[in-house]
Amino acid sequence: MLSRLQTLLLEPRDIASLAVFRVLFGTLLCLSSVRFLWNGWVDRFYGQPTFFFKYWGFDWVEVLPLSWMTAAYVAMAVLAAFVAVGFLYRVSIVALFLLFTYVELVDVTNYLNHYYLVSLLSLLMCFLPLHRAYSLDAKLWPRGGSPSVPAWMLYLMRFQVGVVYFFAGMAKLQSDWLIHAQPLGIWLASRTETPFIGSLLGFSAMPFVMSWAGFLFDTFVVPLLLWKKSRPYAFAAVLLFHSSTHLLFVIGVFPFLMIINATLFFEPDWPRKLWSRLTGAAAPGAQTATPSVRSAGGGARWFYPGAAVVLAYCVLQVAIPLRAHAYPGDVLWHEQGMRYAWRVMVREKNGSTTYRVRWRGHPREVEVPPSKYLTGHQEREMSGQPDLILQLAHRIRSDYEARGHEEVEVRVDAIVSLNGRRATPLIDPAVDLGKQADSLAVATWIVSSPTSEPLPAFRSGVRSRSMVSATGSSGR
Amino acid sequence: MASITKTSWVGRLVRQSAALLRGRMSAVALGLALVVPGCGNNGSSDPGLSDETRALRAQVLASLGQNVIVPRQEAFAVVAGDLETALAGAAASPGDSTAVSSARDAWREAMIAWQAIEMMQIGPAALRTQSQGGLDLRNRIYSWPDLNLCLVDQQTVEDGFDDPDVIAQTVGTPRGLWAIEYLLFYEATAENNCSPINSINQNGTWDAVEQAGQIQPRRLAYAAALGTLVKRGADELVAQWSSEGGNFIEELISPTRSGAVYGSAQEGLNAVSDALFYLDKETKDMKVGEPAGITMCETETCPERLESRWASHGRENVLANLRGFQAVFLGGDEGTGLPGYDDLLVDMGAADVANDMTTAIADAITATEAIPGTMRDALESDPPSVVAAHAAQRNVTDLLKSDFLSVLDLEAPARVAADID
Repeated sequence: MLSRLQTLLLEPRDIASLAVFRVLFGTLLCLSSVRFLWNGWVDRFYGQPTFFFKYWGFDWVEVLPLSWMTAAYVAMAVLAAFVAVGFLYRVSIVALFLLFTYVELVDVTNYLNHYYLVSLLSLLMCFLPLHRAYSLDAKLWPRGGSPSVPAWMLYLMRFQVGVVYFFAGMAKLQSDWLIHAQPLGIWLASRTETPFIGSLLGFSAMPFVMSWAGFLFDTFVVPLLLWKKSRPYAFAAVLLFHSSTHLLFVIGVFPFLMIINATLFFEPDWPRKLWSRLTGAAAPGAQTATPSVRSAGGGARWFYPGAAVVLAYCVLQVAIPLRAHAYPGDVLWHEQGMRYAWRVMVREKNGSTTYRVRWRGHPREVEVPPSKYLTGHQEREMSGQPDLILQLAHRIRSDYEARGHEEVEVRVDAIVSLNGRRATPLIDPAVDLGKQADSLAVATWIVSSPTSEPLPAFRSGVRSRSMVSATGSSGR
Repeated sequence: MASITKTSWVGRLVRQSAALLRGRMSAVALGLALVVPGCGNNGSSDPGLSDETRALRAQVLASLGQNVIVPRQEAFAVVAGDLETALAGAAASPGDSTAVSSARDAWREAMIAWQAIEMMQIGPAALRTQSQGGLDLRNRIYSWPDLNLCLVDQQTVEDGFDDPDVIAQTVGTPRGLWAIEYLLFYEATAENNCSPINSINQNGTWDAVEQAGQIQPRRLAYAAALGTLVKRGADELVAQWSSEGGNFIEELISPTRSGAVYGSAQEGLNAVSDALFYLDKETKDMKVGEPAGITMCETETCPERLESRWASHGRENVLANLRGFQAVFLGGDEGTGLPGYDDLLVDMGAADVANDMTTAIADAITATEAIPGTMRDALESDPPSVVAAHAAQRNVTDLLKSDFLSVLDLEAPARVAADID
């Protein structure tokens, strides 16, 4: 059994699809970095804020001066280009992974699921020899080239992409999404001016159709991509789905990244076949696409230790998204286990946060608006995430203590609207957050999620307040 | 009517389906049960919610421009003209207390008109760096909270203090209604706001003018020059919005046309709602919370942070802010029935949010009106009244930042136009 598994995993597979993935991934990251610089986001995300939210376990990560942060993005653009062309690949991909992950770790409010995915993919790529074909490295040092890689490398990349889709689908298996079609109901109503498809978006059934389509797509697209007969249709669905999200939402390179990822599910030699079909000639390297000892990943000697590491990685990738189930209540509300779990675009959350500070000798509480510490972007992101509200509370406490006040207590009035529900308290206003630790334990200072239903996506047809007055309808 | 009928059976189906899902029935089967009849719609055509929603959003945006923003700017231009005239009269007769009093009344009228517009800082009034179509015109009319009093005093005793063209061409010279307030209402002349090493103190310039009894006449002359500049700013603001001038009104009437600033009614509505956040930071926190010792003040009260330190007009300013906010939210003055954000909330099925916000705004106005006397007086004689007004304002801003943004899918201001997922 193990022997058969070993054979299966070490079986040489054409490197072409992974090499093309490397080219596309590097190109996308290069363009993404240039876009970041072009939009002035380095200054906005790293220059303007005076307070940065830390990731749990990464408190030690500090922001560099703005010029250095700018240099980091320039370096990422160059490194990503090197990855794309396969020049000094090993060094480039490791440096790219470290730099990209660093800039994302600087401030939690910059967290995006697809940034996390980029970090994971680039981490995996550090261990995969994707420069052995279609690269400058292979041209400059032909002895390092190879037409094949062991099959496990392809499977591992597919697994990573599969995890994203699967858990994104599971995140939609909840009543807000499937029964109430929220938050899509809210989002689509504000996008009826979208070119081409806008006129469709306000139809009452559309949020339901799109919610279910999104759930079914995320849940089943990977098996359908793996099955050869359904693959063309599944890829067409990939193109349609991600084009739609690109058109409707400002989600940057995410749609392109996922389209590129979907190519991993094609036959490993698809680039050669495509090349042959387009040019009528055999693609470079096709003749040599035969098994080799080198491509087997160094032989069987390292199989078991290597397999153990890969298995541990895979278990971790499944366990991390599942950790949310260890916390009672709705993860969209308390957000414990929300990050790194591929809960993509499943909530519309807005809140108002006001800190109340008391210290010994002062006659009453003093309000501290978050805007005194945060940019508008940071404040909006923080208002729905309890652990970030806690972090700022700790900072406020330490600031007041530094000014000589004693027995400083920090409480917060944080009300939040989730998916159009009426706003309710997110944090227990009686709890002194200064005394609460930022930990992985169940946060008892977070108030239970609201029991009310979200805003109805099916609207009543009441169009204005004058009609409300006339009919006496509340609309909700 | 057809849509209401459909909604009732669809609503039943939604409730039943939700109950089933909670009972761990198959979500897939339920979803299909929902989607299929939703598409079928009893064989009748869909009521076309997209067209109605789109039309309503466009209608609200256009109406806000035509019926709320532009009329208030035009009204301000009129009272700015009155202020200019009154200030010129006071400057011509600096010893005439009636003329000075008339100028002060004109300033109060102008300030009430302007404070409503503070809630409408979009397009030409807004900052170039922060808003699409911004031309920085607001800061030429009212620069609060940025005013360097030392520079005002310097300008008062230096050449060119009474020439609006010189002032206009000198970068950094204090101007606007806030500087006029200081010049018109502050009567002490012995001291100035500059440090001892400042040239007007080191050279003895201030003392010389003061001993000649010319500080107040110069202040009035300087204020008159600033009054001319405020009037020019008001006229320019009107012109920038006018169809015969900069035609910014077209950005609200026709936001989807080629080359438009906003690109969609939704973006335009977002720009207008951004301006409403003035109520949160500037009005609630800075004008009320900080002086009252509620916000970021480490002593019992912080009266030195009052907005209107010399004219004691802070309460009226806050009231005008709230009324401006109300006009934008309702689409006009109370009871006019013009389309506003309240109608958009109702359209989205959130009539309760619309009603709660309407009530909260009215309550905030009532609570602010209940502050006895001036804001400074109330801080000493009746602090709870100021605290109550602040709390009532916070009810409004809590709704604004949570339910309002969520239901209408609007972004908070100054949020980076960054990616999401």
